[in-house]
Amino acid sequence: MEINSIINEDYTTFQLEGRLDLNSSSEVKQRVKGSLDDGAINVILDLSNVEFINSSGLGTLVSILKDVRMVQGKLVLCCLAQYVQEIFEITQLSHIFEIFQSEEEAAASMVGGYVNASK
Amino acid sequence: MNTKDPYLQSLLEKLDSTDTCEREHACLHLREYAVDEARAALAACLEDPDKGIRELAAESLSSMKGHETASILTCLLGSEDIVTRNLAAEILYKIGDDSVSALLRSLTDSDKDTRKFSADILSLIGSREAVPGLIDALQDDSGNVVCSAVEALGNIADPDAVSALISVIETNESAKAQAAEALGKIGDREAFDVLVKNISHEDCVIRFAAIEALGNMQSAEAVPRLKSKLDTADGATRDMIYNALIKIASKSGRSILEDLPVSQFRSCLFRSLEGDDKNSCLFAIRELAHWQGEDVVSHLLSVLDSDDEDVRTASIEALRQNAVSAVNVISDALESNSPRFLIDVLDTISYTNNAGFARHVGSLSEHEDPEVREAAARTLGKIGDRGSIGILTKLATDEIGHVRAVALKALGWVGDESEVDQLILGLDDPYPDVQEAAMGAMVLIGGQRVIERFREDLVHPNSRRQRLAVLALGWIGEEQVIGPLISALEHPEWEVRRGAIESLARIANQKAIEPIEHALDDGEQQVRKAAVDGLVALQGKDAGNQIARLLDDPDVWVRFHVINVLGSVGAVSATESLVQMLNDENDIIRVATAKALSLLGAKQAVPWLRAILSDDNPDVVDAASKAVEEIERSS
Repeated sequence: MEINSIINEDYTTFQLEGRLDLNSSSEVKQRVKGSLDDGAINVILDLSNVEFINSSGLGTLVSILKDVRMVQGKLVLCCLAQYVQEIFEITQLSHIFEIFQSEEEAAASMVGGYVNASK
Repeated sequence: MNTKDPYLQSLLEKLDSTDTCEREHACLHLREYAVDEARAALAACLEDPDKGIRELAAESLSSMKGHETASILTCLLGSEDIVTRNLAAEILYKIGDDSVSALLRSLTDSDKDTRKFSADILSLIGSREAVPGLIDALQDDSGNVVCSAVEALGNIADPDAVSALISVIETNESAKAQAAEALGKIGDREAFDVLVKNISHEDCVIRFAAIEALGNMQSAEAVPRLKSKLDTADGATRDMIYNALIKIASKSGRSILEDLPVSQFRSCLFRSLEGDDKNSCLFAIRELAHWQGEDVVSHLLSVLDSDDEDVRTASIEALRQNAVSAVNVISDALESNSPRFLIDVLDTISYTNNAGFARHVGSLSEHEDPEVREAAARTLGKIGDRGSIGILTKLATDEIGHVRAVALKALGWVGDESEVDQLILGLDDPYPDVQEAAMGAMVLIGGQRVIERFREDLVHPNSRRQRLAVLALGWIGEEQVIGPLISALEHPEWEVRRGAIESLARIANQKAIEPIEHALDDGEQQVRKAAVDGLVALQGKDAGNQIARLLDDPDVWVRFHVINVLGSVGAVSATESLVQMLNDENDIIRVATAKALSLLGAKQAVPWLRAILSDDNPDVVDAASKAVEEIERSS
């Protein structure tokens, strides 16, 4: 699987390409975990070029979600192909992931709010 | 000589009857006569001792409408009987624009109550046609009439009234506050100076009205003037100023508020949540979304049961952002008696991902309302705390199917292989939704135990279970499911065989090519079509030659499908075989073939396509003609 990461000020985008299965899962998880260890908090996973995803791939996404939550960050997914959307429906994972149609919308969700919490 | 319509005459006479039914009958049918006598008689019935007659007469008059009806009714505005007067006013309002000229005439009536009521009704109707008359009424001797006219001009909100209202502020002390309010509603810049002048008025009613008016105008220009009064104002005036600033901020943006003292600003935001102004309330909710603390969360919870859907939605959104700052307050809210409120709070909690809520949410697993239990299961799943597994397992055996389904889904999100046995029980549930939820959860958990279970289910006595199993194996998609899926190609149920092909195609393992190729000879046409799709999914247009052999299929729909697939994947190698299909006995096959050859841009097919331009079927001729045109154009 090809994994391309782009670091932005508010979030890091990982563009995944290929099959997200048992063989590629650990690599994806390690890449995201490494990014969190380096200080990233918010993560976008761009799945537009993921042609196949199975149980292992889904399990990896759930595991990444837990890792991101551990650092009080936010994980969003974007650009799910029809096939990937189907498996999200079957497993009802669409209820626990924030999913956006485009990377622009996903990015906007990361920078959309302002924080004035200290008042 | 009496020239009246005899029926009209009889209806008018019936109005004098002591029999209520007769009078009712007359009231009902007089509306069909658009003559003054009928209108006057009905108007008189508004004073009938019987309530039913009065209401029927009012209904008839409302339906008759027209200037004439309005003229008659305005005479009743001076009635000493309050019921009659109110009925007349109500009908005049219902008649609407047709009442305006009669009401304008009444504005100059000798009776001051009639003048006041006329202004009030004109205010409700809101027609700009009334503005000049209402401006004249500002000079009325009666203070009540002036106040009603001022209010009417504010409600109509015509800028033409601004100068006259400014004049009222400057000269008429008793209508000053109403005039300020009216100018605030009109929102015209011309009123700005006079309103600013009055924000320091010694009379608090006038002062408040001017401040509120500046808030209603929502002009950022007023902000420095309002802020300049904050230091010297008393507490109530300061609150008014804050409310006005919040109204302005709801239009101009929050930046105007940034330099305000936090504590009072926060109090005003809280007050805006309780006020009548929806925009201020929504602004306050959105502002508070970025604040933290138990008091903020408590106030946001207080609007969560609003009847206004926008307010409710905004408060849910705000609470999602800051609920985690007040775990105790949110948890306490879970003791509410309102199921809708509880579901909204649970929805809020589900976005916090905070395990601190899990215990409190779990306490709702025995709530009497199944929708609350369902929301609790969903929330526990979203929170994702393994400590909730026990509660979710219990909810997976709930008496209500929806609750069981959600609990099983949640077990899939939170659980691991330890939960597989519970999920397997869900596969045996009588409700299909629950079975599918269990299947989805098992797919998500995956692993050898799950694969084994679905493998066994391929020969389950229940055919639905077999179909679910073959689908599930496809979604699991690991190397070890390929074997069982290939075996399923020999399954006696054609739907299972078809599902196996779809799953193998999805996994896209090359080992599946040969077995799927064998399935091209399956006895069931649905399976043969699935095999065509499967081979194309695995090999793309390289599958062309393999699937082209089904061009001889005895089933017309298989042939039709193959032709369409060959065309759409660009299987040029199949051109020669396709050309033969132009002679198929079936019209739809000839049409589909012409279209497929067009998609392939098959120049060598042009002579054969031309040959069928004389086909008996015009659809075939049309398809062939377009194909020739397209092929020649693209070459």
